[in-house]
Amino acid sequence: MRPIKPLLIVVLAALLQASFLAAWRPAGVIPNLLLVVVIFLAATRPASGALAAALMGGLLLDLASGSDFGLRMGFYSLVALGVVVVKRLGGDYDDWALLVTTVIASALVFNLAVLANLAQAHIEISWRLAGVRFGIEAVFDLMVLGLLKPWSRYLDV
Amino acid sequence: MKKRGGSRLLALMAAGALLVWFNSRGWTRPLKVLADYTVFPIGRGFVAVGSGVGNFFHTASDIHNLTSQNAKLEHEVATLRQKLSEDAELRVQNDTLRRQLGFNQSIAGRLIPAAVVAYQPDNFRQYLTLGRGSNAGIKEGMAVVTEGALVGRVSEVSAATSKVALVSDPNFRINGLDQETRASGTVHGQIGAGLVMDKIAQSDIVKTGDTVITSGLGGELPKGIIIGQVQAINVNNNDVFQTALVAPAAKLAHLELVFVVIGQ
Repeated sequence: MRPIKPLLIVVLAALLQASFLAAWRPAGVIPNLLLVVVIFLAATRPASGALAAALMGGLLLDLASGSDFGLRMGFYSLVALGVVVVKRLGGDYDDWALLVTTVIASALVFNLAVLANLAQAHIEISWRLAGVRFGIEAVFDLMVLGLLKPWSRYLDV
Repeated sequence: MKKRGGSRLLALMAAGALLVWFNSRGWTRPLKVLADYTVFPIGRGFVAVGSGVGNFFHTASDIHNLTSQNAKLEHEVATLRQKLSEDAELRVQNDTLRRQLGFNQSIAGRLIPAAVVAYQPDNFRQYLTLGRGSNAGIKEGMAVVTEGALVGRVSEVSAATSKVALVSDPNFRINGLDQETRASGTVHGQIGAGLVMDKIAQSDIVKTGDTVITSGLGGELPKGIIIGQVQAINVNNNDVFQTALVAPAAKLAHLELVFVVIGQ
């Protein structure tokens, strides 16, 4: 049951993000639920388990997406690996400051990657609007982090 | 133990990279079919719940506008009823003239209903996944509409699902026509700010409130599908073209059911 539980959790998180949250769009943005789940898994589980779960979740979102196949698999894998490295260097993911920094930095990197792809295709981008949208998403990502933090201990059985 | 962990990590990363390469060759089809039949049907239920929640919050925040909106809509319905009866008369005259001139009857596209089972899971690209695909006769490039307005274009099709690029996606391009003045331009999405119709000749006239429709140029999409309404015009005499901001006619958020136009 141990290896299956994180996979089920990321499948559920990816499904909710691509369907429920994407249909609801609080304040016009989609909170990155899978990012928070991947960070918690990487902070509490062995590296290979966390990476497998991140790959699975990223793959599901890539299949739901209409563009940039592989971007989400690569991104969530990097986030999982990054958290594992920080943990090994002595980082404590019970510390709120580290959690908040990881969520915001990761979300920023992902959104910049999507925007870079658009810029490469010579699409005009309003950086002011993109910044506003990212700001609202960051707020909701932190709200998701706050909601899930008390439950994170159930990820490690 | 550490060595085994390291090689496991490498194997997982290699598997991920291999999947991306497979996709570029079109070899991930069995995986997509598996997702079509297992994961996306569950997504449909979540989309319905999410749309309901979104609509609830939208209505609750907009409640003070409802009375004036209601009165405005009642007036609009009365005007449209009048226009409908005039249009019915015009259609009869049109058909008579076409027959007299020997034109073929225009064939309206058949509409196939399709439920939305997933949305683009991030914030800058605008796509959605429908729960019907090639099995239902859907092909790449077909128009997708809702309540008579353009939602987007089918960009990818598998047996049981299709991906639709929305009009609001920054990469979406369609030739549009001002229904009143017949000015033409290119309509495209932009991040977080509606649609833009640009490359409108300076000599053309575009007015606020005009309806923009698909022009049918290039045979991409059928002519006459409503794209949206002009909200503002940007005219600079030093520029070669003028630009108009267009509000999409289709409510692109909280979509649950759309129609694919086939057989045009």
